[in-house]
Amino acid sequence: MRNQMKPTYYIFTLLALAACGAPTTITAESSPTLATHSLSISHHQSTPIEYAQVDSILASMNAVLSAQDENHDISCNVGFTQLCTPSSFNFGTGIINSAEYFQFLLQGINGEVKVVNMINYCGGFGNFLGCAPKPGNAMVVVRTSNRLEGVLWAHEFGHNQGLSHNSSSSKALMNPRIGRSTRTVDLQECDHFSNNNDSSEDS
Amino acid sequence: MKTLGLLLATLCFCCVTSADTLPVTTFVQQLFPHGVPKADAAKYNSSDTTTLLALLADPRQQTFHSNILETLGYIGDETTVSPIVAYIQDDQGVISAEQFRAKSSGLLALGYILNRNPSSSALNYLTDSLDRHIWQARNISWTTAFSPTSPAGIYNW
Repeated sequence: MRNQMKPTYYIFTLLALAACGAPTTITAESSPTLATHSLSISHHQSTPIEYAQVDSILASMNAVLSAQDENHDISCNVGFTQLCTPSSFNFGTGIINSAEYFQFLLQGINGEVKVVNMINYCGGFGNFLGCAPKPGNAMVVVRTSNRLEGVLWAHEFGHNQGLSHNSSSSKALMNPRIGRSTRTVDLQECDHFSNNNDSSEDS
Repeated sequence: MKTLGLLLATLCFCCVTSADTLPVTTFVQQLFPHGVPKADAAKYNSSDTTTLLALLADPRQQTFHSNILETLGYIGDETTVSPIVAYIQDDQGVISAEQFRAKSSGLLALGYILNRNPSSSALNYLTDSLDRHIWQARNISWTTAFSPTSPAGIYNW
């Protein structure tokens, strides 16, 4: 059965590559990558994000997860790759003020990461930097200028992977407050980050 | 003697409160992916507004202006309505997405103040703001790079 599926898979992959160009793979430097997640990025046309910027954010995500920052921190070797050049969309304003627009962006726009101007609604009203269903297949994020986008994206990706907030440690990646030092994951969280149907075991 | 006892009790309460709460500057200089936690922000009070307004006036703190404004809102001090309104309206030219987000938080903050302070002057500002002509009359001279490609109202969101 698996062999019968292969041609379809290869054709799909070739089509994806033709559409996107060759993907860039970013892996942890310290040890073999156990699982790789391929992400597509869409952005509202008024909030541009370039391929190189996404590369940098994904590298930061890899670094956050793979580094062992504390004794109880797991070196979680999960790799993130950029499937193709970020695409833009122009539906709405890129400002999320309602559940309807949020759901539309999650389900109606391609990509696992949607970059928007502003998130004023995420199950309630407020000023949000990111919002992701738990579990889910996509997240919305805003651009931030503080070099913490890798932490933000990794945090939201954790929600997509089924993780809740973790307030047991101020340095937990899944702590509701993020910063330069919120980078630690435990074994159970690492399992969630690794778990993906699209993930590939390192050979 | 009774007054002294009351004073000591008050001081003791303040000590307990401050021990449980981060300094307000540290608090607002965090990043909250899902918004400022209301319960934590509400622990601060009017004695923190001077510090917060100083941070709000500092462009180097731009990243945290949104947190500062929301925290001011949760504190609910009437005296902060005017500086918050000034923050929303002031600025020239094209502002960044971060600045725009902060100004939007300013509007939310006025709502939070109103929630804690039903007689607040924030009510007039917010109800006036429902009229688009009022916005024109306010002569706001900043714009954003956000350019909706669809005419307003096409989408109900």
